[in-house]
Parts: sequence; C-alpha cells; structure tokens
Amino acid sequence: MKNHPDEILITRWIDDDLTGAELEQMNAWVAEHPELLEEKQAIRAMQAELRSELPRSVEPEHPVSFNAGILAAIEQENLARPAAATSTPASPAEPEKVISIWRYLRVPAIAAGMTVAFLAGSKINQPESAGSELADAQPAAKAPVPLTFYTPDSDVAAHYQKTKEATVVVIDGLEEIPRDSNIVQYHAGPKPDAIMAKNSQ
Amino acid sequence: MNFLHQFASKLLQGAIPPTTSGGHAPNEPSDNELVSKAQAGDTAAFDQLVTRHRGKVYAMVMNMIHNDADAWDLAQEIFLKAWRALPKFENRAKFSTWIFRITHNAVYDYKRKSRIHSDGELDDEHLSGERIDPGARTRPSQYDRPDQALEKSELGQRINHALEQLSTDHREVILLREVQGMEYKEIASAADCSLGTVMSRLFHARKKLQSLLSHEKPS
Repeated sequence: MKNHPDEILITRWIDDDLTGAELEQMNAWVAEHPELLEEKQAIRAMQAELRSELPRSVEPEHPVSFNAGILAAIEQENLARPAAATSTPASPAEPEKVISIWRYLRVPAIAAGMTVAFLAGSKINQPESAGSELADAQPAAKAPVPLTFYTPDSDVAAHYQKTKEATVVVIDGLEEIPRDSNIVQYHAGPKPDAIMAKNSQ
Repeated sequence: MNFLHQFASKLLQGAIPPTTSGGHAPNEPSDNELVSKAQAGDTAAFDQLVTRHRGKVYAMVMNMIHNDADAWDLAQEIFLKAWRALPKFENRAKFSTWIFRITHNAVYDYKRKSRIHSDGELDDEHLSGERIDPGARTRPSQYDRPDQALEKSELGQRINHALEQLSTDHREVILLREVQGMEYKEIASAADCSLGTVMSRLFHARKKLQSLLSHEKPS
C-alpha cells in the first residue's frame, strides 16, 4: 500500500473488520509503520475500560412504575381517541359506506334528536323522589376514568400495574401495622351482628 | 396491610421477567412476535418489549445526558413515541436498532431544547436536582444511593468526565459501538447517517477520547 490508509480503513482494521486483499494491504502498511500497532493496542485497552466501567444496561429505579407510567399514558391516549380506533395505535379513517346511508337518514335522525333533547330537558327539571323507578334504575354507564393517585403525604407513593386478571395497586411508604395488632379494634361503631339483631326487631 | 403489600409486590415481580441485557430465553416470544402483537393493539406485548429493552435505553440516555431525573422521563417518552410509531415499523428490521433510532432523536431534541432555553450555553441550573420536587412520585431520587456512589470507581469517573467533553455525535458513536456493541450498519441506522460517517466519527472520537483520558490520568 503506497498511500496512507484512510480513517475508515484504519477504523475497520482496529476492529478486525478487514479481510482478503484489504487486510493484506493494511498489514503491509503496518509492517512499515509499527507505531500503528501500538495505537491499535492502546485503543483496544481503552475499549476494554469503557466496557468495564459503562454498563450496557441499567434498570431504571422503580421499574414497575416505569412500565406502569408508559401503559397509563397509552391508555389515556386511547381514551382520548374516537371509540372506533381505541384498541390499536393510530389507525386509518372509516370507509365511505356510512356517508351514503346518512344521506337518507338525515331528516328522520334530526327529528328524533330534537325529540330526545326535548324529553331529556323535561326530565332533568323533574326532581327525583326516593323510592321512584329512577332511583332503582341501573346507573348510567360511565366512560372509564384513568386511574390517578393522590397522596397528601409526600413520603407515600403509589403505582399500579394491570394484568389480565386484575389491576394491582402497590402503595409504598405506609407505616407497618404491628403483627400483634387486633384489626377488629380499629372498626368504629357496633359489630355487624349487633346491627342485624337490631334491624330484625 | 403488610401481607397484601408483600403479596402484591411478589405478584408484580413474578409478572416481570428477570433483568436481562436485552436477550430473551428460547421459550419466550421474539421481539418481532411481540411487535406484531403490539401493532394489533396488545399492550401486554408492548409491556414485555419495554421490560426487555428499557435497561439499554435507560443506560444510553443516562450516558448521553448525564441527568438521572430527566433520563427516567426521557426513557419513558422514548417508549411512548415507539408505541405511537409502531404502525410505521417494518417488522423485518431489528426492534433494538429501531428503538435506538428513536432514542437518538429524543436525545438530540432534548439537547436542542436545553440549548434554546439557555441561549446557546448549557445552563447547569436547568439540570440541577434542586429544581425537582422531592415529593414528585414519578421521579426517582436524583441522589446516588450509597452503594451506587461507592461503586463509581475513579476510572469510571474519569471516563464519564472525558465523555462529557466529546461532542454529542462522537459520544453517541462511542457508546453505540464500544458499550452497546452495535455493528456499523446498526449505528448508521440508529444515528441516521451513512456508514462512512459512522466510521469517520468513530476514528476521531476514539482519538479524542484517548487524548482526554491520558490528560485525566492521575500522575
């Protein structure tokens, strides 16, 4: 090799990435310039130091919270998106078939909507009385609310993780309850048996 | 309440596979299998991907920005960006290389914003741990645990100090090659540059780092 090898060739040679003719040429150059071997050894030593001192992988502190935070954010984004696209990452628009059906249903739908709005308005103004059918009715389905935490004590932290079977909430920082404590003593008021006996009289 | 706490902790620890360096056991689904499921909306599969790759991403972010508190948030943001970009990911490629590409973009954005807020100079006050609410439950303590402080050897401190003096491009290529062990092609893909640029940066970064470390050596 007559010309000085370029930095790309030297880098590949240091990393033992050369083969065939390129390797032969580089070896011929190194034979004439042995200081390159010293450079290679020095860089190899530095590489070993870097690998020993800088970990390839570091688990973040509170790894459960780390994952839970990401999943919670994904869930919030899903809730914020229209119902048709909630189960997947951003998906393409709905087909055009719906538009043509709407063209025929527009007038009846508007009339039905006005009727429903009138009835809803008149119902809202009626006071609910105890024991009415409304009080016994099933509660209206509510949109799921993202799970949030509030702790007045800054030493207490909470995080959760959803599995297929359950949502597990973990609370850190609470004071331990002594093992010999009688939990029943913390209940205020009469025992359940006493309440039932009183109601049956 | 104690036994419930312990039971819940054990349940969660059991649900999370042991810490790995990014590899997975032969009987576990591959990254590509998990990605396919996640692309179909399976957040549990995505959760497994996060568990598998969070260590490498967090290590890379920490070494690039040298701010523990911000590194935690930035690493979470990277996985959130990955979730949003999943429909665009071609499952033939390596997920780990792709996540490092997102890491590259996020770190560079972070550094650009840091420079903008400090009018061109890196303002250490913005990175100060004292600005972080100690009661904030989403962030870990910015102080080293005693065992961590002891573990940081003198050599490690010199290396970190030398790395901080490299440019972002040089620091990145050193970390991806020497620490993460990535091939040139993977580095080019992650750093969004050509193969030649990767090798040229590596050449100069190694020289610069050698020089810095030799100056830092105690007499």
